[in-house]
Amino acid sequence: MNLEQLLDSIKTNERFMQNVTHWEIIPQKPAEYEDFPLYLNEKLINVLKKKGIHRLYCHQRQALDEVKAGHNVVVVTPTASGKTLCYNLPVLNELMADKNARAIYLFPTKALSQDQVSELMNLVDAMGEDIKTFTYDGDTPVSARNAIRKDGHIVVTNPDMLHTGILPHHTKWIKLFSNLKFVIIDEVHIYRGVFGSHTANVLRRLLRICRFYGSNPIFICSSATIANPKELAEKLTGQNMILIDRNGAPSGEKNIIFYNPPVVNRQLGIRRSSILEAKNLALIFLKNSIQTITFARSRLAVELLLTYIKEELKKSPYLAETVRGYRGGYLPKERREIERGLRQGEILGVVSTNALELGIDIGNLDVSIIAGYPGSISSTWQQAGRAGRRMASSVSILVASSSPLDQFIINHPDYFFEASPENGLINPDNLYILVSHIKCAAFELPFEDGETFGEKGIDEILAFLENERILRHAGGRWHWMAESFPADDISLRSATPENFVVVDITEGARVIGEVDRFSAPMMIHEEAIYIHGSQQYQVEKLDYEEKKAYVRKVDVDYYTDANLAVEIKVLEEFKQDSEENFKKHMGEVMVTGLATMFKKIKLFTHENVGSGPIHLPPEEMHTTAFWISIPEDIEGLSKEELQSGLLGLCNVMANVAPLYLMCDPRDIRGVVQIKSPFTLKPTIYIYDNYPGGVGFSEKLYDMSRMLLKAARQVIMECSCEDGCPSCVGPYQEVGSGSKNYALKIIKHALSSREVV
Amino acid sequence: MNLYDKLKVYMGGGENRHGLQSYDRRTKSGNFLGVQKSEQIVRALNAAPVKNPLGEHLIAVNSYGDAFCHAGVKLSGIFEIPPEIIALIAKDSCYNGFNFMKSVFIDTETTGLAGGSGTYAFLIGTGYFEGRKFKLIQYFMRDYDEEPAVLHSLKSMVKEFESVVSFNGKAYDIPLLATRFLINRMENPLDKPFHLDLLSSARRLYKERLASVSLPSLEANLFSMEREGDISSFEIPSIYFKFLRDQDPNPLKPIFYHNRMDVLSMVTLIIKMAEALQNPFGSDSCAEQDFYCLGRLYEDMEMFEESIKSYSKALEITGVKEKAYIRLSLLYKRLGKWDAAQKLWIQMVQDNIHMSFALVELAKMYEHRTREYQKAEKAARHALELAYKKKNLTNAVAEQEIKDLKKRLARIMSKQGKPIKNNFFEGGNCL
Repeated sequence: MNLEQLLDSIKTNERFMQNVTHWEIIPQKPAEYEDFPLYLNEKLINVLKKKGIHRLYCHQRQALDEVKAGHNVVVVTPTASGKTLCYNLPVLNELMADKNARAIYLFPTKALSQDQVSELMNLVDAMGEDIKTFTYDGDTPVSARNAIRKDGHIVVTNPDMLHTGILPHHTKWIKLFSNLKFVIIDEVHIYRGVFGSHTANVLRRLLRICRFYGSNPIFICSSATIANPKELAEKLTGQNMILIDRNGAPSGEKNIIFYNPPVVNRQLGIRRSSILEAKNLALIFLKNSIQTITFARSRLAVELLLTYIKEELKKSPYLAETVRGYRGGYLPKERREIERGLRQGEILGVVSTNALELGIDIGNLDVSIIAGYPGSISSTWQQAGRAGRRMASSVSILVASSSPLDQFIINHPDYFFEASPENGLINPDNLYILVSHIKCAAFELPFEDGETFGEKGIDEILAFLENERILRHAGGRWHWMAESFPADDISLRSATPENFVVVDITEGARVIGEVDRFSAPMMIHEEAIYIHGSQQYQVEKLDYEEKKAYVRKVDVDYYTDANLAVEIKVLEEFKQDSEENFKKHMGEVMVTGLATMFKKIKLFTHENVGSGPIHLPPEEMHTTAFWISIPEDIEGLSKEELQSGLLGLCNVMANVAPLYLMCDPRDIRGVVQIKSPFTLKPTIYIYDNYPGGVGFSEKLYDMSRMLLKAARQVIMECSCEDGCPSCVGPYQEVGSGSKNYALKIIKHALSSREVV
Repeated sequence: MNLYDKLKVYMGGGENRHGLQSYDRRTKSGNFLGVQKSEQIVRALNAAPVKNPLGEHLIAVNSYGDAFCHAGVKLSGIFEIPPEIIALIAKDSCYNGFNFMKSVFIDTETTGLAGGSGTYAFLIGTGYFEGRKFKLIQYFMRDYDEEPAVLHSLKSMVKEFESVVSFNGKAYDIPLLATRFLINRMENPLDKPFHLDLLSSARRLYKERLASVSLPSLEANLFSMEREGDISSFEIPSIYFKFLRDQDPNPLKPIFYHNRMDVLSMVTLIIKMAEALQNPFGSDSCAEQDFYCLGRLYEDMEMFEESIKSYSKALEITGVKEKAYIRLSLLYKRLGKWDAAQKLWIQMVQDNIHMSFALVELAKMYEHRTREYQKAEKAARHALELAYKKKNLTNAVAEQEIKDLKKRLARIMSKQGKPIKNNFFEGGNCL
């Protein structure tokens, strides 16, 4: 059956349709064209015509016109809408007119830049123009670097390399900085949170250096759909932006189906596993040779899904071989091969984490299945967007898990289709981040008295750094006074830059993958089952100092899942206030994460079949948190009941908060203390899951009552009897009765004091 | 909490570790204490303040007369060096007309060793000949705000010269100063047509004999010189930072001394290298493994007779012997001295010096030049056997070598009209 026929048969399948909570059809959309502008170089037009492009989409034309007028732009378009031309055309047009002009292309990851550079080079080669495009990153050979500094018209790099490799050596890049006309920032929406806050500061440094050399570049940004592309791009670059969001590219009919797996245990509120349901759905399409991408929320889930799908396709080995996994931790070569296979149609199915949500070129597929709400509206649209042909129909199916957020979304489709997607929040003035980059900037060029960095004056910070003997104030300027090279100590991505490598010692020793430091205690502790390419490995030895995990191939019927114990300590309270019958606070905290034990969980049935301890050092993080404290004596609640209710309420709050913050659930975390050493009361903390914080706690502080009311609604609306994973959490974790106790706590907290 | 206190708490540290001792900048200008301090600095460093349109800085001048010896070598001896020897030191015939009267010697002391635009040269030592007298001028910034004045003085001084002499200046001092000029928006006066970097020269000559070719190592090994009260380079930045804070000039004295020694040793080094190159076989200034280096240098400069002589001496010297055999035999081959080359290769096979290389060269020669196919076959077979042995013994990847040899052997066989049997040279049983 082809896709249309399959859809027709699905629509009449009652068992399937019972679980569908919503079926949205987005009608096909014709293209909106405009002519090439008169100022566009003839050669460029000819090359485009040869490629079969005879007119521009309206957003491409608008980008050209705005840039021509000297405006910074941010272009918001879905995948495969010709967004690269939005920046390649203005840049090439200018470089052809002025051979001295220079441009920097910034991509958030290396994989992305490779695709885009080959496309750019194709255009340049086809024109026979002498425009040199070079990639300058950690892999660029030292021997080639000199030529790139002098002759590269377009330098393709990433924020990390700009930060450590280019800006601190700006005097070697005089040509680039003196003639810099454009800075291209692709995938602006990726620059959120810590990474975005760092990058905003790197761009402040870039502009400071441009001012020194007398250049004033135009920024051309592209973004996926988020709530605030203009605001994010403006905060990131510190420049005013023109928003271009009228997409002129055509698209075929899109079916977006919301699918809620059936309840299997009403009492416990447990639904059929979203992974198993996603597997079944994917198989419907794969068995009909329809190209399908399946997104799973974690690396582990990817490997499980892949294993299950391959198992079921065993009968047709040809099909089984054309289904692959894709996630962070696979080596680049393997990833490139999978991307190419998808583009050329040799690979029929892929199971991926959100790694394939980015603009990596894998062509367009017919079906995307999303196993579990990805956590944000914009991610969901991105993942759904991987299915979408220009002319033919496509299908995206969102399969909900039992988590409260999933259940909320799947049962309130109008919220999803009507609400604006998430905000990209950044906080360039996060003190940790800001101070780090002020050091780097002072190293690059001394600060003048009264100079600003971003919008603010920074005299106080400079004076602090002088007192720390890192800077010296002399002659009205602040000079770098240390032997170290500050950029080397600062990673833009996270608090800890180092990765662990995974070494397969089944035969000889072979590196098969990488795991970031924060995930290492959870994924590659000793005895963990590490799954790669649906092959199971057991970790025999974890060398924490050397950052190596030695694994051996095994074939077992379980996987492992680690528990993380979190402790929190208040360092300083910034503000506090009393609400009805609770207190709210906001401030700085220290969070300590410790992997304590792991469980062995049986494949397919997901039963717990064993456990073991984990002995690894804790990871520490300074961040900002919002917390509420409630009275310890709530009528009718014993201490144990209070604890159980508190845990449940914390789970619900941490799960609903992302809806109001418009952030990813992984951006925040919750933790409780039955008697906080700081407030001396039962306390629920919700903290920013990033060192230094990115501003979520502050927002929560301002909406604390709304948050409690929303939590109450979620708990009351849940159909379970005594608490379930869709509201207060699984009873093994929160204890029985949690649902009831949590409601009591909320009722008490929201009752006004006069009455009590 | 105000921002400052917050920074203290969250960035860790914060308390001024020296409390009130921290030097108050205001004392520098004006008041009595400041004047006293500033005089103390001038006295201790034996320096004088200099004013120019960009401000003020210190300058320390030392002059060394005609007869002055550094490490037992008379500096003015530099003028006795014949032009072609200077070209050899530079390994560039363009340096034939190099005139030390028009050269400035430069060495900097900096605030960090990592490089990058935040590294400053706080002390710049320069030296030049005035007649037969050597003059050494050190430019010093008492604080960061004196950098423009230092650079201005340096600029007006070096613009008279047509060349630069340094030790590792190509990679370090000169680019660093270029960055300093650029950041101060001044034209770079050091972009000279000639730059003699003695580190490359010394490395070319001494790298086989000496474990290190750093300046102190060269001094110790070539001039039997030991510095007194010297200081190691990595301590220098922190001493300068401490001076900025407490204005105590005494710890700076060893840095000034170190810098002067560096400049003076450059002159001595040139003279020492010139001695070696002027009479390499007759004096004791060339020794042991140096002869191999000398052979390379002469070969690169196309002075083949001298090169052959140097390599021949090196054939006797452990450590470079094996390399010398290869280079010399290839040089003979390049010059068409086939008999001499053949003799060496046979010697190498006998003495087991790079035997495979020698066998392959012999096979090539017998096949292509003398057309003695039987000898060629024998040499190639022998080489193949060695390759198999190597593969079996060390598990080393000799695949390409084996493939090439098989091809060569097959060709030699066919030239002799011999049939090529399948597997006739598999394994180790080919002989």
